[in-house]
Amino acid sequence: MTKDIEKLAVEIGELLAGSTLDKKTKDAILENLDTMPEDLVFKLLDALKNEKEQIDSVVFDMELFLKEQDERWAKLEEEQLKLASSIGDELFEKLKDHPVTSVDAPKDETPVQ
Amino acid sequence: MSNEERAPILLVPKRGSKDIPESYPRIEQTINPDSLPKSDFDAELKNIEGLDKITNPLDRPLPPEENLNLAPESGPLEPIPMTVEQSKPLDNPPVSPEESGLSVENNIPDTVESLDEQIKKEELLLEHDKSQKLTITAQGDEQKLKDLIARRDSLLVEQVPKEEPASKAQIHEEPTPATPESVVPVTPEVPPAAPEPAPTPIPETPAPIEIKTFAETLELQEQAFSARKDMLKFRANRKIADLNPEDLEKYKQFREVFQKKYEILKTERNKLPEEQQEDLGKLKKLQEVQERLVNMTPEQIAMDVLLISLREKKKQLRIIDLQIKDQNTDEDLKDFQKRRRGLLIQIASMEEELSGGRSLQDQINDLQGEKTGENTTEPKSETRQEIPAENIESDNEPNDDHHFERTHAESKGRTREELQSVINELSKRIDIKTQELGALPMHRAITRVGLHVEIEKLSRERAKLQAELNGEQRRMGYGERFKLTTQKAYRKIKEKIKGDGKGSTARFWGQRALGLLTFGGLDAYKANQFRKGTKSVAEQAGAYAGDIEQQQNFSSVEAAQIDAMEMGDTTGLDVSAVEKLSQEVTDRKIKDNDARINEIIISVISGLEEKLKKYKGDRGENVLTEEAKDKIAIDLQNRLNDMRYSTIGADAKAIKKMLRENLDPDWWHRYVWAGLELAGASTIVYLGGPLLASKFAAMKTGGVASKEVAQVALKDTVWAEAKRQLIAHGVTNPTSIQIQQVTTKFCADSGIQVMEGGKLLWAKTAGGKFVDTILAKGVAIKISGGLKLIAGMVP
Repeated sequence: MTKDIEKLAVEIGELLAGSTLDKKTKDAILENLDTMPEDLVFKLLDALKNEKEQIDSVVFDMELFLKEQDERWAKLEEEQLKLASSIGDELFEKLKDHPVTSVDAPKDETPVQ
Repeated sequence: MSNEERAPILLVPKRGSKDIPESYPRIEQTINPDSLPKSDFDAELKNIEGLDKITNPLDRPLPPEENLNLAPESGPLEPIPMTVEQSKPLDNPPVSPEESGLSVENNIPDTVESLDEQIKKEELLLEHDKSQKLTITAQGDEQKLKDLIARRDSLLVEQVPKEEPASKAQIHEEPTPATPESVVPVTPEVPPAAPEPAPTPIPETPAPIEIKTFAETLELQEQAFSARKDMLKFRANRKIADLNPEDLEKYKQFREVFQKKYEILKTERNKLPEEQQEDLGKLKKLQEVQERLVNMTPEQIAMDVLLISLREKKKQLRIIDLQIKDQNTDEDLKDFQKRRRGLLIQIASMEEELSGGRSLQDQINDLQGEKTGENTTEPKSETRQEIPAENIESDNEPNDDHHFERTHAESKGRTREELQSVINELSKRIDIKTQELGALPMHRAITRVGLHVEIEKLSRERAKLQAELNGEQRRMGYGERFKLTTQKAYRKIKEKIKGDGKGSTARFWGQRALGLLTFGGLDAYKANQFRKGTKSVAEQAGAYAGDIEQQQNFSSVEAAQIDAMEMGDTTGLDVSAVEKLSQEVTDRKIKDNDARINEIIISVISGLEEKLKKYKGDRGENVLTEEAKDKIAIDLQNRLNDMRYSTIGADAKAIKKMLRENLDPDWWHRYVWAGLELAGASTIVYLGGPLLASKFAAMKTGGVASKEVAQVALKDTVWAEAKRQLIAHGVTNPTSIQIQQVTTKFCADSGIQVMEGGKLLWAKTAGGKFVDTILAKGVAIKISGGLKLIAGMVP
């Protein structure tokens, strides 16, 4: 077996491991690879590569979504903290001078998103 | 009929016409483009020689002036009968959709906002086309962009002056001294409206549904694939963390361009006949699409010419309809109506030509047959320049380190295919000779001996070739070491995945997302769950397709489809599953945020408590009582919870968009799984092996029809269906006897009587209720019994 064919074997094995094909089909392929027609080996390689490309795309876009989601929630937390602090400050101002006043949080104009 | 009088439809020669050219390319030569009047339509016809020229100007919605103003230069329309002259320019160009405030494409009034949006999209497309050096497409897009901007600007201008008259009136009125007359409120005298002439009843022409030609759709596919390639190239070997915000923005733009182009492709492709859709679906790589584009057949080109002509006629019809509305005199009206009738006749004729009647391929074959004296196979198009293979950027090029091995393997595969094909042909001839022999009376001894000798000779030849094929097959494959190396690599990755747990968060969620397509997770996709893909495989894998079905214990494609439908939606993403995943992805953030809100509340209350320590109430009590703290906590919690609604909304929107784009079932079925099925399932079937052996045995003993109710919807005739099933299940060249046996079984099982001239033709179908000659398309035929028969026929 030449180096190149060995490389091909490793490539197919790795791609097959990450494929969405059902286990039974994968096992059958792995069992019969020794006598599989060479041209079909390449068809299999192309199809698996194509599939991997699609899976990678999904993962990449999912990662992008998660990154943007993290940013959105981090920004939200920042705003929540800001609002809570300002409410705390206002309550303090209100309570220190008028201790018997209701402790309802001030209904300011802070926009609610 | 002179050339000038000949309508464009006659470009496609009719059978038996005296003007029949010797071969397809001559079809073009019968028309001298210079003799034709100048118009957009004629210009396009002249461009037939280069298909790219035909399709390029049409692969996008035409700019308004191209779309409607067909003949802007001079001369009124000629009266019917429709001639080439008819496409001469008009003196009074018709009211354009812009003038009427309607969008060209959908007759929906434009708004500044909608135009802004279109401009933005067009800019993206233009940028992509320029980057791809798609000059002609870019020119079209540029023109469209200009038009859109002009339309938006004119709309803006229109909106501004509406307020002006009032203010101007005020300015003019103010200095006018009040006179008694002017003080007295006078009802402005409105002149009685002149009785408008009763509107002439205009026959409604429905807006034509524009169907792109096969070549145009193929170009759309090329554009979509090319855009996808750009997108993948941009992010190749890069991780999200490596990309700065500008890069991410650019990536999104690439993605949007691809999505847009793919949506257009999908829409246009779905309007094509099913065979053409299947044909396009087989092209899974950009390179394949490009190669196909340069190898268009004359039939496809001729069809395209006809379609383009039809489209032009429909445009002319719309123009005439608009003109009819503007006509006041009876004479003009009559003239236009006459032309309209002429156009309608031509359109009907073209539509008939396209939908039924004699096919263009038949006509072309006739022409070629007349020239060569025999039926020839389809010649390659001479109207498109062959692109040397090395000039096409291969999809596999950057990663294909196995060029030599691949070429060698493909060559070996072709040799085997050719051998098999010759063997099949010999088998067919032997069958025919054997049948002839069987029908020959015994007393014709010499003829019988002759047939025996022929059969013997053919059999020897077949045996020789079979031995050669067997030898080829024995040498097949890369051997034991190759298998072991693959298995080792496979196990290594599997263990790594197991060791890594679920991997990165993105990979975990990505896999969850893929689970939406695979009905519950990776390793769950079964090759035969999708009809489209399976059909494509069946076509490509030929003889092996039937066995592929057996691998999955499905007795038919339809049974597989039923099975898939029971599991979930086969045509689109399961909406509730998308919703569920979207919720899960957001829920984990909500939980995190709940915890954060609690921290914030505790921090605020503790801070407040600390600061209010020194302040006491009237009776010396603490200002911040427990009750007060609870109240503040609840209030704060409500306020902070309210703040996150928009973020939750943004999450849901983004994740759903992402899933829709990435998990488009159409894309996966056509371009991913169909190929995987072919490569995976057919290889197992080809080789045999324990799994196949057991399945095959099951098939031989009747296991094939495990689903006794397996049915197919009739596409044409029972006979044709039987032949298809035979081929699909491994009988590559079925004989008439085999087809008849299967057909009889199908009919008997489905309660169909086979009749001819009112009499029962096949006795075995006597018990049927329905008559074969009145079966409609779509009638369900029970095929399980027939499939059992086929199993016994598989060589």
